[in-house]
Order: sequence, then C-alpha cells, then structure tokens
Amino acid sequence: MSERTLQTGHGKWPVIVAAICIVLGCAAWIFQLSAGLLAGSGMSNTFAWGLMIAVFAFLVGFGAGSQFVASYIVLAKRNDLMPYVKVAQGIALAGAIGAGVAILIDLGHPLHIMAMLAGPNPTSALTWDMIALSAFIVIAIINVVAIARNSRLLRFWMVLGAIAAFALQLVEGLLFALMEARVWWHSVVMPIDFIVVAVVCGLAIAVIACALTKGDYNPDALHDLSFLLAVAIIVHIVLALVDLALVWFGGSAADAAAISALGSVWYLYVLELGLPIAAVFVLLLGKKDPIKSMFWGGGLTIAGMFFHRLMLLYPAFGSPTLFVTLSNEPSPAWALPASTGLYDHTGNAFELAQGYAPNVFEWVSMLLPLGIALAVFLIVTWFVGKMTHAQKETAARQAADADEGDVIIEDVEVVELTEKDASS
Amino acid sequence: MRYAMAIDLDRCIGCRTCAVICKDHNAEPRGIWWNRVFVPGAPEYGTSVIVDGMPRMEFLPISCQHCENAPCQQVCPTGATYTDDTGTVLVDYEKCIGCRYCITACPYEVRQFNWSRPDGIEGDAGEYRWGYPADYRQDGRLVYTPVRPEGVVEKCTFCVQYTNEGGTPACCTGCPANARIFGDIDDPESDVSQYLEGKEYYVIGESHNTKPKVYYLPSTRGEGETR
Repeated sequence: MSERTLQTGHGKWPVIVAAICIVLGCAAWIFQLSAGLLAGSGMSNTFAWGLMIAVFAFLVGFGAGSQFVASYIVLAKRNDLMPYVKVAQGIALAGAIGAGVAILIDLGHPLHIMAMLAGPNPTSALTWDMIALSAFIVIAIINVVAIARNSRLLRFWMVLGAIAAFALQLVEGLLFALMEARVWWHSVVMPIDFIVVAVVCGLAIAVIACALTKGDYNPDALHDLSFLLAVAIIVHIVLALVDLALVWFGGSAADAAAISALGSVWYLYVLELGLPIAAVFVLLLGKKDPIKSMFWGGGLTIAGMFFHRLMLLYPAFGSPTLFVTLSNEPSPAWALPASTGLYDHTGNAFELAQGYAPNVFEWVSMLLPLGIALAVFLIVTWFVGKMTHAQKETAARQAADADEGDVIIEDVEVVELTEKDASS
Repeated sequence: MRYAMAIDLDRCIGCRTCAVICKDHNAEPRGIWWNRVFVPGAPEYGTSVIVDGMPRMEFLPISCQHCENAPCQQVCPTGATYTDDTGTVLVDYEKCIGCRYCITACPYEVRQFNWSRPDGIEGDAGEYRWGYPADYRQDGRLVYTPVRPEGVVEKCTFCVQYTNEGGTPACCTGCPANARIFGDIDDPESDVSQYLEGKEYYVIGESHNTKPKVYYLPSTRGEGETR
C-alpha cells in the first residue's frame, strides 16, 4: 500500500478498512468505558496490563523503526531506496500516533489525563514516555513536511528524527526495565533490545513494502534490506536469549516463578523466537524468488514481533512478586497470594497468579489504534503525494514560463537592436 | 513524624479480622482487599506447611508497607500517589488516570484497581451501608471517598480519615490479639516505638530496597520443635 497504490485509484479499500477499524474499535472502547474493564477485559490485579500494552509496544516499535530506516536512507544517501523514504516516514508517524492512542485506550480513568499535563511526575518513566512520544510525533510531522516540500533541511530533520526514535525506544525499554519487582523486565538488556526490535520492525515493514512495489527498486537495494533485516533479527534473538539466561540462572524464587510462568505459555515463546528465526532462513536462503522471500520473511518477522510484545506480559504478570519465608527458621521462599480484584466473574478473590486471555472487547478495541495508524499513514502518503504533484506542476509551469521568458528577451533584444539600428 | 506499624506475628491468630474491619471502615468495593492474611507455604488457608519434617503454621498479614522508597510513587506519572507529612503513602483519586503502572511496580501486590463501577456501597434507597461515610481530603486531595470512582487504583491509607484526627487505623483497633501497634516511629514515646524497643524485628521484601514502615516481629512458635 504505497503512494503508488493510492495514486492508481485503489486507495479506497485502505480508507474503508481504516474507517471500519476505527468505528469498531471505538464501539468496543466505549463499551469498556461504560461497563468497566472488569467486563471489558480479561485482566486482574495480578495481571494488570493486557493486550493494549502489547499493541502499544508493537506500534511504537514500527514507528521508531521506520524512522530509523527513513533516516538511514536519507543520511546514507541511498538513492536506490529513496522512493521508500516517504512511506517509511508515514509509517513512523502512524506507528507513534497509533501507540499513543493504544495507551490512552488502556487508561482506567482517561478523563483525569489533564493531571498528567498539569503536574507530570518527573521520576516516572511513563512521564518520560509521554515526553519522548510527543517529541517524536512532532519531529515526525516536521519530517513529513520536509519530505513533501523537498526541504534543504531534510538531512538535519532526519538526524533529529533518528535521535528522537532512539530516545523513544530507550525510554520504552526503561519503562519496563526499571520495574525492580518484575524479574522478567528488570534487565539491562531490555532497553537495548527495545532499540534492536524497533530496527527489526522498521526493516520488516520496509522489506514487505519494497517487495510489493519492487519496480521502484533495484535488486541490490532489496537484497541489502533483506540482509540488514536478517542481521537485526539475529542480534535481537541473541539479546532475547541473554535475557532468558539471566532469569533462568538468576537463582531466586522470583526467577524460578517467572520461568515457570514462561513454561505455561511455552507455545507463545516458541512462536516469539521461532517465527523470526524462520524469517532469517527465508530471507538469506530464498534466492530462487527473492521478492517472495522478502514478503514472507517480513511477514514472519512482524508476526514474531507481535508475539514478542505479548510475551513481555505473560512471564512478568504470570508470576508472583512477593516471596516470604518463615520468620524464625530457615525455610523455602513461598509466594503469597494477592487479591485479584475479581469477584463476579471468577469468584477467586486471592490467587498466586492469574491467567490472562484477551476477551473479545480487547481484541476489537485493538482495532482503534490500528485503524488510526492506518488512517494517519494514508493521510501522510496522500499529503506527500499531493505536495510532490503540486511541486512537479509548479516546476513544469516555471520551466514553461522560463521558456516563454527567453523568447520575450530575444524579442526585446531584437527590438532593442532594431531601435539602435533605427537611431544609428 | 513518620507513621509506622508493628505486627507481632506471635500475637497474630490468623482470624483475618484486620482484613474484614479494614474493608468495612474503608468502604472497599467488592473484590478489593487492602489487607490480606495468609499462611506462607500452605496450600489452603489455615493449614500448615512441613519444614524440616515439622508442621509449621505462621500467619502473615500484608497490606501497604508505606515504603519510604515507594516504587509506586516513583512511577506514578501524575503524582496521584504521594507521601504525606506523616510518611503515609496515599492516592489522590482525582488525579489517578488508571494506568496501573503502580500495580506493576509494587512488589507487595497490595494495590487494587477498580475494574468496574463499584456498586453496593449505597443501599437501594441511597442510604449509607458501610464505610466511613464522607469524602476525606488532605490538602485538597481526595484520599478517601466511600463511593470509588471507576478505573482508579486504591490501597491502604493507614486509615487516613482516622489517623489525621488522632485515631488509629481500623485494623489496629479491631485486632482481637493486639498484634498490630501503630504510631510515630520518630517519637520514642509512641506506642510503636515503645513496642519495638529492644525487640528483634524485620521487614518483608527487603531485597527490593523499598524501606517499608511496617515492621514484623518474628514468631517464636515452633522454634523448639525444629531444633
């Protein structure tokens, strides 16, 4: 769904899809607001963050990652990939705005949001996140305009864009990594992996988009993208395994509980790691039909990244955080049950841990940030296309005017010469 | 001034009166428990756990630890969670956006979210049913209200509506075994300071470096049998 697709008259379907997503997502969100998250989600006090947080991290990764890709193409002067810059910048803005919407939807009391603007707490990583996301969106908008106007300052704004994307992912990583109570998150690897995952996401969507519009790019450029994606995936997998090893060999009761929680959703973890690994093989070994390999490699990667974001939650919330021993004797460390906050639905007031499956309202409300992201992307590509078209028309008109000007000058010269001749 | 609580595990009989009276006095909605009491290691409440071949049963009450280094306060993006002049960690219901970041940050799992519109607080005819009946504000901040707003986080306030007026938390008042002692830990003459003086005590979750202000006096039950 590139700018070219939109210009060829097939743009109505993406618009319809975006509109349907927004309407359905809005309806589900309104239900959640009116009926409460108890009926509108599968969460509990022990599993306090759900699908929307995963979607938030998923979308923000695509936003920052696409900004990395756009900045790389411009700053490295990759003319062979230049047509993708405006698409990448559109995805960057769309991903960030979609992520912002996802986090707003997830709030229990969104009407109090003004409290965050009026008195933000500087020690909260969520405050840093709000600042980083807002700054990223502003810079992404400036970059869109700079691309559309073919600004001479584009390289400068692309540098700022890359810095903003880096800062955003760093803060996202810290948002989880600073949670000392959650051993699955509390790792120095987490912020680094957030940056790498953004690169993976940005390249994955780039690989798919370029494969879909392969006529715009030479084969070497496409091969470069595939290779870069494969390398980024390998780095991410290494970091993910390091993170796993840190918990596996952590030795504490909390570490053991997190591994146990991981084991209970082992199939998600297999998908989280297996899909990107499969993508590496497809991207590097699929030489017979490189375009098809790019399409499948990118698709497998994106699916893997979604499971990766979901798996931020399960081992972290699926395990207790408080472990106690007997007060006066050496004893094993036992987890202490916590109040789930659930009553009408499950009847279990206290549990060591609570399972989580997103309910239908969560799945449908997920369409709202996705639909808004798609709508933003369509608006950006439409805007850039329109501006580019207007610039071409202006340039053509100026060229035509210039041609006419030359004739007039010649006429004047002729006239002058004639007058001189006449006076002489 | 720093309010603190001592919990003597030798005195605790596991009756859970503290949990119930807390719920009553603070109008905690259905499903929400600021206080909980469990037997560490036991599969069911009121059963024992075998350690070194001997049955052991120790009751452990847990509520907000009112940490000096409170992770919930650190992560709260709006400052809705704050520590007042008495060292009590409170939540301003009118500033909480319901992001639940504090729930993920609290290692004691004592924070509770209102997943639905609380009902049953007022009777069918709109009459008062349970809980301290009026809103309570501290410096303009709504730190207690008998009808909770939906989608906000709540937790133990050391019964701010009573302690600010010179009273004690309901769990201390209601404990039939006087296992809970409350007061100003900075005042050597206070009940809590006097009770702790010369005794061995500890805090739970020490590895989290939260510096709790709820101190536990270890149980002496079963010591002779296991040695």
